[in-house]
Amino acid sequence: MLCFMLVCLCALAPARAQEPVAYGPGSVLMKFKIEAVLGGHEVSMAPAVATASGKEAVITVASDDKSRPLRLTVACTPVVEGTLIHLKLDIRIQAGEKSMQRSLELTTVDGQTTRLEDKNDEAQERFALSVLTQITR
Amino acid sequence: MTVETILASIPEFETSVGPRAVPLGMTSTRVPPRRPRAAWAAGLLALMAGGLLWGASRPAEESWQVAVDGTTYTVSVQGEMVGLEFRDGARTFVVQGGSQ
Repeated sequence: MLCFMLVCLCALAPARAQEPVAYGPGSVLMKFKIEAVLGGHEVSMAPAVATASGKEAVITVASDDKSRPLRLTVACTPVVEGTLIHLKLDIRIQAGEKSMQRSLELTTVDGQTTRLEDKNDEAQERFALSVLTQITR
Repeated sequence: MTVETILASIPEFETSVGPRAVPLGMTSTRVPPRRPRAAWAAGLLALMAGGLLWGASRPAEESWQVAVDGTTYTVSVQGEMVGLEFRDGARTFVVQGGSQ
């Protein structure tokens, strides 16, 4: 039993060391630009994040502002299929008591920028997204 | 003479069913329980292996804080962040990171 455990540990150590980095060749680089107006308050976030195909990347920015706590989360999972990139997105914005969520799936190609925009004038809400996807080499 | 008769003639076999009788005058020695060191070591190693497996399967996550005009923003990233520009009203900050 002890020998088995030791063998497992010895086998796992190099496996962990050889784990490919997220931003290696074949992974997907996503450059986002998210602009939102929520309850009259304007917020924008432009993260560039890389992850391996099929793996989720999550970026969260949260403020400690007691009067109007702000929290933005961008979760994205790219899946490379030949020259196509299937992108699953989940964007959540919370500013004070107001919140906004956009969940979408889109298919794009290497080097292409996708833009989306929607607005609700009555609720003073606006959401704009652009995302450039690139397969790293 | 049948087998049953032979067995019945041997006193030890009369008590073969049910608890075995211990002849008077004999003392039993209590065997001390096996020390649990090996079990502890195996458990510890199993925990280490489990932790290693959990760590290997879990994507790396890092976080840091940025203070702007008295407000602290906590940025946490799962994946590899290359950069971040953020604007909250009049407050803005830029974070550079990654290997690009």
